[in-house]
Amino acid sequence: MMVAPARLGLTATPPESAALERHIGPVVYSLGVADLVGDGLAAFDIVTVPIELGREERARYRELRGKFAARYAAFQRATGGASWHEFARESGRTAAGREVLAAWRASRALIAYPSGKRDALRALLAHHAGTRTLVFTGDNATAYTIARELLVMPVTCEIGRAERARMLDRFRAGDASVLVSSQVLDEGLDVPDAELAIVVGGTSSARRHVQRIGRVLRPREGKRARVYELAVEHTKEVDYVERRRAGLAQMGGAA
Amino acid sequence: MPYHPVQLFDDADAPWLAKLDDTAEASVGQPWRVLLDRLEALPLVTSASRTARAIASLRHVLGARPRVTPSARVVRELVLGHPVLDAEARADRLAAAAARLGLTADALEARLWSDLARERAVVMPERPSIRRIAAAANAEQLARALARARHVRLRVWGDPRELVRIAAARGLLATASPDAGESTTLDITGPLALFHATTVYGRALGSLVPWLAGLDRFELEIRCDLGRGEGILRVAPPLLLPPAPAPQRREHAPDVRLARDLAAAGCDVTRDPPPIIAGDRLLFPDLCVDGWWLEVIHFATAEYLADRFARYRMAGIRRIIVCLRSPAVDDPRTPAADLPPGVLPFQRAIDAGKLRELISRSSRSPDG
Repeated sequence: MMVAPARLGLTATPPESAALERHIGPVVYSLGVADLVGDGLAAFDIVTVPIELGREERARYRELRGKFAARYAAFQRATGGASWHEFARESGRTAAGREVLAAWRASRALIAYPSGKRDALRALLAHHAGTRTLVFTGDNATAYTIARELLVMPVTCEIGRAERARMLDRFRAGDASVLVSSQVLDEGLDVPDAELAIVVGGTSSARRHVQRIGRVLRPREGKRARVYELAVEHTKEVDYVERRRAGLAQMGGAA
Repeated sequence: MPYHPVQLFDDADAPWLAKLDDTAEASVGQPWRVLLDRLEALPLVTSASRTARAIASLRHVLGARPRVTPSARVVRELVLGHPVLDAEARADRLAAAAARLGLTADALEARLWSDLARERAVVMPERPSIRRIAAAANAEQLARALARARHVRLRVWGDPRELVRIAAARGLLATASPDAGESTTLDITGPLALFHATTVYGRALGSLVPWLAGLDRFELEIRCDLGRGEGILRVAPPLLLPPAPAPQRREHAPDVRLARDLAAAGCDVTRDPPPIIAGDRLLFPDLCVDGWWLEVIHFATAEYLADRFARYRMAGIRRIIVCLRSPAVDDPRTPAADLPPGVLPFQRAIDAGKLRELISRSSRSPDG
């Protein structure tokens, strides 16, 4: 392997760890998101939409989380903070453990797209009818559920390249105003100009959040992009939103 | 080398396999991901890996990708567009697209995601039997072990010719040895003992599994490493396997076509001559042409070819020609010049003219 005498790193989304400094070196120049607004990026607003679970949904969520949290806490105490991977492997070995994992999955599925998010998404799309919109979900299943319900185009890894290209062409031409995706639209695809992003689900990753927001920030005269984040109250999602906001602020964006 | 027990499925698994079947039946019309989530949530009654194998088997039995016209992609192009925000608008859009394609709205919606493994709807024209699910799981498990084998030993009772031919047609390096009783032992080189197209070879070896179901009696030993260190898996009937495939139609097989062409040219041709005993081996030539023995091989290493010729010589046969299916002519791995004399390379069909020429040339040589 050849070791370069000098290294220069260039990134739009600095990693959330010390890896950059370890591999490349200290940051020598940075330009925040806010600095770019106007010339390089469109101005934007981020609006958090709080979502209430329905009564039955809330009860079910508490039951599922309770089942999971008790065992996970006990495992953490017993192992002195073992990784999630170890927890999942250990749990998969017993009937009780599998039940806990199933409860965890079910709790996530429940807040991925509960009735409150469903209503909020419809209301936002009705309010911004005709606006080119990207809907981001936390997983493919939710992306397909939305595509199935609203008859909009899903952009996922399972949709072939040619079909995806055709979808993006239709989106660009205004023949279809909404695309829904869990990850494919985050990065790596040249997505046509969009003005609105609706984050139905995601993770705490600020880096991924910036990639998503970046999809609606292509500048245009007089454009003001808007990002809606749907977050189910009293769940991990509220924490995710706060962590994403903090990460964005660190990158020089509006918090 | 230790023997590893193989936990194949049998009738004792019927009660919990029935639960899988029940869950699938209750999920008809739902996307496959819903069924998979429900199956994952079932109480564990056996190991997680066996459960996963049974679920994969159920998926294999039920979940084949349907061939539909128009394709899911065409339907999506027609149906998906601006969002529909109420039930009426949704129904109208589906009805309009269905009318255009001459389908019902339900049929149209069923096609919308039919190409996506987790999104297509669970269909069950008839409830699969528990034994069918168990048999498919067993076949899959054996095929996986074979695909990771270093060596395979298959002892069969009765006439082994069909199995030898199937192994040869799949390009497997196999040798046959007569046993003391009425059995024959096939030794097959495993993919992990080769440095050649391991995945393709492994798949070819795995494709032998369905044929085992047609054997009344056999013993299969697979030397492999399935994550517990190298060991031997030993399998013998009774075991549940899917029904054996129908006998292969052979009218287009290279040796059959060659026999036809040679007979038309006036040669004296015998198909499937009796096997030849060569020391501790059995040889299965495909044809005998004017006193020359012919064997068709679909893949060989240099050592395997040399051993083949040596075995025929050991049996007192010098008039032997091996027809070897070669990769593309310009494939640098097996240049024709490197093939030993007595080997006729072919790709799809064996050229009768070239064979007669080779016979004529070899007959004039001192060894002929």
